[in-house]
Amino acid sequence: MIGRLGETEPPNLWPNAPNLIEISPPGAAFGSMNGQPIYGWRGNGVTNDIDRSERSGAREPLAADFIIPLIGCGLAGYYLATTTDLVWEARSAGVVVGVPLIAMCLFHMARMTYRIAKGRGSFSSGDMFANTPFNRQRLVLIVLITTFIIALPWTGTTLGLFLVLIATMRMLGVTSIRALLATSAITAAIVYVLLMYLVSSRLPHGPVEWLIAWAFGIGG
Amino acid sequence: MADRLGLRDWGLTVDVSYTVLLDLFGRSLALWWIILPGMILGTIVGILPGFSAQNTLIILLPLTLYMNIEAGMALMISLYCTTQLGGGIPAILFNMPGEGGAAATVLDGYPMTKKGQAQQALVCCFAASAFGGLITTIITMAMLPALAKLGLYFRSVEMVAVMVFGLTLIAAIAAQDLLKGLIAGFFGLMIGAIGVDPVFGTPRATFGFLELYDGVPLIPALIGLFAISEAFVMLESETIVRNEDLKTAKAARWVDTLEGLWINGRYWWQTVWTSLIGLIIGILPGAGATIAAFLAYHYSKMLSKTPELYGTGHPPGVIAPESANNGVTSGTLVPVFALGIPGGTTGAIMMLVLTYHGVVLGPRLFIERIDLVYSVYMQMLVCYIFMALLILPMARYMSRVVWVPTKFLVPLILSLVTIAAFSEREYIFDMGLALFFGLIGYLARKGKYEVSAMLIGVIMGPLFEQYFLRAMRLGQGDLTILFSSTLANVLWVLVVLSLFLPFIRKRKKTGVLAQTVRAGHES
Repeated sequence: MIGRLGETEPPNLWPNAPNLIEISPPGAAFGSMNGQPIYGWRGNGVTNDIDRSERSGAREPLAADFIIPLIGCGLAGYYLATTTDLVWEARSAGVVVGVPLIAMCLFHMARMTYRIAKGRGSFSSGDMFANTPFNRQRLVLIVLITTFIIALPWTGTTLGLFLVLIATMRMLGVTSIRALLATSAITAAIVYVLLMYLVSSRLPHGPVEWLIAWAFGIGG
Repeated sequence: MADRLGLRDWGLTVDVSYTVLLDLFGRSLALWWIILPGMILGTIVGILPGFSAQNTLIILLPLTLYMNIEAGMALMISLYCTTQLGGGIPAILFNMPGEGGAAATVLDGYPMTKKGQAQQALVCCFAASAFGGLITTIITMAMLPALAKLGLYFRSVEMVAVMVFGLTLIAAIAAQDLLKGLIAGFFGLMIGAIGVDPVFGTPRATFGFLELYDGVPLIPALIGLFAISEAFVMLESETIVRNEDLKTAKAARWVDTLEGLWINGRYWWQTVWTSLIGLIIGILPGAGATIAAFLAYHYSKMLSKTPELYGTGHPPGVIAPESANNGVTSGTLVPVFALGIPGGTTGAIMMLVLTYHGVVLGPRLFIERIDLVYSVYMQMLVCYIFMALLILPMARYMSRVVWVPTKFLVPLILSLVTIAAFSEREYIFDMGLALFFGLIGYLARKGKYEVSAMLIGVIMGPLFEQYFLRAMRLGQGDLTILFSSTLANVLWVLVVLSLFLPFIRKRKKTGVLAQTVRAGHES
């Protein structure tokens, strides 16, 4: 049984293939070759996520496509601009890499703009920056981890890790106090013993480390 | 039986009889008491991002110098070999390579985990590592003097070609869109070019951060691009595996370990030839396990009859990089023994221990201390045999990690990898850098840019600059020097072919698919 135009999901010819999707011309709503849809495998190679908008036939949000080329152009531009006064040996690798990078980024962005102009995509960022629960969770995670890093010289590794674990797990929905305390305490203890006591890593010390050093005379 | 292992035609003869080899094997087996702890430590070091075999070997240096030469080398060899295997474990279970050499393993290992096949993926990884390592160790022992000469043919010009060849792999790996693959790779190279220049020490694009004068450290980049960005994606589901596949994962039994072994047996030829890629890359100075693994993955995909399955959880996508990165281990020591030149940090540390014990490295070693050379490779052989017997059964228990809900896993991964980012240089700045790369990685994933391509760019950036600059100085700024040797020109042709082959394949494949679909409609 082969899929027909207008079907919302491609037919599952291979039940075990997780990423069977249409591979017709990009952006086309169930595009076709000689009037017939074409199916194949597709995944992003790492997470296997599939953009649902490609399936549903909606205009593909392409804003995310511009982010990396813009950052790439910015970095290459900054690199080239700040090395103009240096001798050729110091600039050569940057030029050899940076110039093609800028050219490729500009070409890719022009290609995307053309697709948008042709109505095959939109400047929308999809749900990437939308006010969704997952995005809010990501934002809070970033804030918590940043706070953990900044506060590390004062809290010390063991206490900092214990607190950040409790905060992040609670935020992600762990409600059991016992689970929160046990997981955080055990993890912090393992990190202390493995990295600070046995390997003597120079991870920042804080109240807990000082207390252990005072009480047992170790790891101070 | 006094048969000689050697290549007389090449003027390379080695006076080692099988009796001596058997004796060396027995002596290496007797070192089990040091090989086993080395393996356990190596597995832990491999699993933990931020802890490399090199750093651990440096930490253990006082211990290895104190031991007798055989025991010291056995500890270092077992630790080094098992680290390559250990790096594949978090790559498969969490999409977070423990070592750079396992970065290619995530491409198919993690999708296998998501399909509820973590146990099979781990078995594939362990078996490919063990057998790939075994094969290359045996080959190296048989061809040691001849292999030693290989490294001499690769000078800076050829190494630039090898690096560019590595870049074309990026495009091929990100087969969905060649341009996006190249952008990601070149972006990585650009990041790798940050830091002081190697000739005059002038800072370049450091954004005013003193911490970036040494360049962008690899561990925070690796941790950010893979682990942190994946943790941000992971929180959208309850467990790593899809709900329907969680039942499969929970129902995993010993028979799945056997299935993994059977899969490995089916692709035995793949294990053999990809481990040879690792061996050759290992001999080349500075190339290393990461390039070997990506090269093996690339060729495995390119030569496969089903390249479209790669990236979706296809076992050969795990077997190829894992056998290659363990194949590197045998090659690394070849230039150390034969030329007295270490190809990388690991080789340099082992060289230090050997010279401390009064061993004179170089061509005369094969005349004066041939027993020592072969005893080191015998220790490697014993380590790989132990690996096959002891680590394979552990896959079943390790794969249970995927049952843990993401509300526990995400906080644990995020906080532990942030701490791991500190370990390489011991700067708090690197923790922030890892988080920054995590955001870059997340944005790249959302835009469907290949983060592996970015990472290989970051890894190759400093190496590329080093060899490119050396070639340019030799040619007094003339770019044509890059095309001045036959070997380099052959590599350039391969670069061009690698860029065009995916197009040809895609066209062919689309044609076949269209015909199939049309035939289906007609029927």
